[in-house]
Amino acid sequence: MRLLTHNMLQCHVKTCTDPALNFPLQLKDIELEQVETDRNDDLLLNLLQKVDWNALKATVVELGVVDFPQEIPENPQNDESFMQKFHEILMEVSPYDYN
Amino acid sequence: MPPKPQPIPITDGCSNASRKEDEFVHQVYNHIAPHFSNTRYKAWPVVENFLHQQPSGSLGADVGCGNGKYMGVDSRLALLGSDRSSELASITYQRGFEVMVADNQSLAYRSQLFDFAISIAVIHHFATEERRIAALQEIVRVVKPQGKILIFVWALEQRGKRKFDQAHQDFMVPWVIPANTTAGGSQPHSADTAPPQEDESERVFHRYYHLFKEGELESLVERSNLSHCVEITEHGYDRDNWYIVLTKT
Repeated sequence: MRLLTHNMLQCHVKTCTDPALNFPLQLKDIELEQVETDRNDDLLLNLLQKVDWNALKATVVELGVVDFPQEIPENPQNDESFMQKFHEILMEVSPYDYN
Repeated sequence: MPPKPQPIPITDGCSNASRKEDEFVHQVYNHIAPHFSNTRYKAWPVVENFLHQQPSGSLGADVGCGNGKYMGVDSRLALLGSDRSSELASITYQRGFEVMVADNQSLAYRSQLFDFAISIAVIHHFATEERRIAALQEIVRVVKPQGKILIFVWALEQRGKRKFDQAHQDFMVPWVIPANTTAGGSQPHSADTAPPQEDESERVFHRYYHLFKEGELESLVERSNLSHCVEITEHGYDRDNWYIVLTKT
């Protein structure tokens, strides 16, 4: 599962509606894999509107990734380094359960 | 060649809906997954066109993605797949797509997220209208306003290889894994399937279907209390299926 999917998930149990508890899914006992994926800037810019940035940042910290931008730049499309990092984190990093 | 087994109408379509789906949909797909997947590679043109019409960079949900045959059709898009059959989801995963096991009636996505969604040959596997409505509502929930949804369901009126008794709408439809099929899936382990036919290695499984009449998909939208938030922007018949395109308002 890529972090893209992880960020789009919420608990599907009907009674689990507390926004502080039903998202994001906690990642435990996981290994990270990097799955090479073609970069699609149209997609990345679109996903910037959808991603819960705070949840993504928290997840990135949980996974031990250090050099991830804290904020979305004003013109992300002109920020090559941001776009590449966002692509790698969202579309390539795949946590998997090693159990 | 023995005659092709034909669909069997059932009269208790609505009873024990969840058990029926478990036995005659989920478990059957798990048994037949590899063979089913080998026969599912051609994209239907209406679905392909729908995908190509979505703006570049769109995020889509493929709800009931089966073996993921639509997930790589258009590389400008990103699709997240889900299927109730863990074996089909596993095939999709092995092909490198994003997929999770989920029941269409409770998807594990945040609301109003997707730019579009497709539901190809899925909603006809729910055994009551209430459950078909729940499935439809759940797809609408996860799509953003202005997002488009394509839904395909099997048509009762189809004139293909299979003959459906027009007096019924709920059927057990045989799936035959021919003798000497290598990718035949696991052996059935319970009484949920017909016994093997003359040739010991040929296996017949029965999948539950609710076949849709002309106009029924449209009336399902109406009865789902969705009329205030979706418009039917296209409808038609293609390859034995009724389909509609919904646009969320």
